[in-house]
Amino acid sequence: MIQAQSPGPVSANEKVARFVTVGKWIRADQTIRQDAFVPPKDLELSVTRHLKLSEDELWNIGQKVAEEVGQKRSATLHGRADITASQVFQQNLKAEAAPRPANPNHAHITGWPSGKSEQKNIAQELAVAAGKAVLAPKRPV
Amino acid sequence: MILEMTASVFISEGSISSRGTSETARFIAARAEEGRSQLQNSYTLGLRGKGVFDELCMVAQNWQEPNWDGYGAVPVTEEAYRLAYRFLESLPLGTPAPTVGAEPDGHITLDWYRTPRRTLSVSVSPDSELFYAALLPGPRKENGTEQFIGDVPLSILDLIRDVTAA
Repeated sequence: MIQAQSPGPVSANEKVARFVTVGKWIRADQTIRQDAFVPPKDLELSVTRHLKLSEDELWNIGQKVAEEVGQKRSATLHGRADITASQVFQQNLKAEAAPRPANPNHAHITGWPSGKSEQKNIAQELAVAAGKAVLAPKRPV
Repeated sequence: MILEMTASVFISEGSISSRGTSETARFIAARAEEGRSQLQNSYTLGLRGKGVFDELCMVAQNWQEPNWDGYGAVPVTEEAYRLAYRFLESLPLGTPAPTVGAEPDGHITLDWYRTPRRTLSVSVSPDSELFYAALLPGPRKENGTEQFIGDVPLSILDLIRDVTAA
């Protein structure tokens, strides 16, 4: 198995991106719904560290995430929500490097409280921190 | 005339409790529930005209497969759909329409939004639990869990009012 090389621990001033693969997670005014930041059951919310990636490289990773969507839905990358690691830390969460072979910049946001309603409040705060979504560029068909 | 009277009761009072014990109380509650459901489903008075039920149906249909978000999401179940439908039907007439979404654990979400810091999200789980969280001016944060047993909890109605009030 190929081991992805970790770029090291996530520092406070780094930006991380949450790719938005569900159109409804972006409101009409381009703000992000909290749904995009609610953690999955394992409480490891996937994000991608910007680090030295170019915009194109970042979108290519997002496209791969979108392509993992189940076969019965068309895979669409709608955009991304960018936040800084310090905004994650302000919510008493952690950002941990979790490199993958296809995405060495992959990281997890962890440290979520166990209560779902508390998780939702934090997800709302992260959505506020993200501001408006960065919309995905139109790709040639 | 009857419709007007019934509507005014539902607009001002919200749902009528169905917890009475006598046969008469249960009968009245059942008829009231039926009437409220019909009004909520009407195009002029209820959420039906605002497209919320169609949106809910679309969410349930589109996200019934695993991994609908590319991150391993759990499918939205028919039970979650059914409960969200009942929750929407139970809202007092005149309640501003939420937008509908879903979360990675398969819960259906109802989102009332004015600004990023004036927002309420209610998750409807397939186990009849309602998880809610709100950000409000102040700044104020609210969150909690309620069982959904047919009536929209007052705590949630109050937050809808706080978020949507002019």
